[in-house]
Amino acid sequence: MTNTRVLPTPIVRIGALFSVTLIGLLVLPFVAMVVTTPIADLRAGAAHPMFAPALWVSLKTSMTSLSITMVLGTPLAWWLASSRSSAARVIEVLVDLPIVIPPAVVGVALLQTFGRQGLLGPSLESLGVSVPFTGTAVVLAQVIVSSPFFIQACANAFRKVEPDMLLVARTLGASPSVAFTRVAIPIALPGLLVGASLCWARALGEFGATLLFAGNMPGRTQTVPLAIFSALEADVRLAVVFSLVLAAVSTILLVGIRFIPSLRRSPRRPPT
Amino acid sequence: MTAWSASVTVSAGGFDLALSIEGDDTPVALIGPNGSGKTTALRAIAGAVAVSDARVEIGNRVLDCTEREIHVPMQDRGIGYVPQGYGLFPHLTVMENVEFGLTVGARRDSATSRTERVGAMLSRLGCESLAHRRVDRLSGGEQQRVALARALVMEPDMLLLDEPLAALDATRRRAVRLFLAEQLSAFGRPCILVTHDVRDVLALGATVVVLEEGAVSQTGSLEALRTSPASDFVREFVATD
Repeated sequence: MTNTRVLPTPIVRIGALFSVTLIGLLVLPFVAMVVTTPIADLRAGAAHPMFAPALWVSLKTSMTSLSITMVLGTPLAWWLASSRSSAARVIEVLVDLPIVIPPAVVGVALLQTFGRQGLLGPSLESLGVSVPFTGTAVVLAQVIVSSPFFIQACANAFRKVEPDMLLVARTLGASPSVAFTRVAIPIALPGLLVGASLCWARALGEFGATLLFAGNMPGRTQTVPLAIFSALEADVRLAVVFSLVLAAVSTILLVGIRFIPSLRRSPRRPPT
Repeated sequence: MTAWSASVTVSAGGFDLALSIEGDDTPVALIGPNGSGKTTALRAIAGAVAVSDARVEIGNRVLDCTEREIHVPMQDRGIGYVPQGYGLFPHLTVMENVEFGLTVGARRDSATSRTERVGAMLSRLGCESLAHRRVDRLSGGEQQRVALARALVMEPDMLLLDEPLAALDATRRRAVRLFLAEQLSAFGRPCILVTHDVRDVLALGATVVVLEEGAVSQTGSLEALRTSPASDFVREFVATD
């Protein structure tokens, strides 16, 4: 496409100035965090007794919540992508709700559901099960805030699978499950990986709902974002180190997300 | 000579289709206005659409019989299907697309035999040089050949083609039509082809079945349709020659 000058030069310059300002605002805090942290602080932070348990809780719970979301969310995403019913459109809006509802509200809602005075709390307690302020609560909070990202990306990816492709696969001898795994999943794979990455990143960064519903107990429910919150009260430098680790993990995820869609399998080389 | 018959009744979303056709190894061209149920008819015969009543037989095989509660699943019907747009698998190469049916289900084949059969089919359809290409980088005519190869390599008892030439430009269409006629002649088994073009009917020497508003309005040779067209649609169709 050839470049066309649609807008007058002064407008373009003002637009460029606005853009540079916003980019500066987006990047500057992270640059500040990196340049103001001496290597010695990084070493001290990594060796701090709060760091390893918080990182372990974060990785363990976020991977668990991602697995749960993938198992429960993939069939739902497939249905949302393939159904033309109005029920599917209503469910799609419901699934997106946790994105627009503040995490603190999700935390309160979870307490009202699973807390002692909550909807299901007394019944669960009679069975000897208590969910709030446990690792399970951390996972539940993460599933709720992060699953919409997976389901949305997954449904969009499945929409790229033309029904005719599955139909052809069936006439060629594939059972429904083989057609799904050999045709639908590979075609949707880049989108599924993007969804999983976004979902994991959101679960890893979850703070508000976890604090309210699961508490902030080191080694049990204290994830890295909660450790940052605790460290801020005692030692700002420690909070910065924890933040840098989380930012590094998130950046790696972002690079992965941007890279995955262009990862198309190259055709097999012809035999020589 | 393989005799076949298909009677299907479909009721879905306010659309009703009642189709009863039969034939032998002579290709059948299914024609009709848009929305008359041609694609639904093909899919019903392939077993992909829920039918309220059906009886489909190819040779001495009964694929559907509502009365006797017989419904052979799609993967076991031995029916080849080439949809509009071809339905090629974009994540696989040409060779892997053609090979797909030989790697799944009851007709799974050994790797050596697979390579031989796929190679022979690609060669027969003039696609050997495309074997390792990605299907999204092929021209419309090449995609059509690959889709045909993928269906034919399974040696189906019947072939269903849904507007196989619709995605091609006018100049390519003539060459591909002749190629398709040769291939279907060599195939020598029952074939139903949906088309909007009377030249396809001529090239294939097909018997015509006219579908209008979900029902068969006329059946016969192109000559018979010309002599006494049953509707304005048929009159218009035969006049475009």
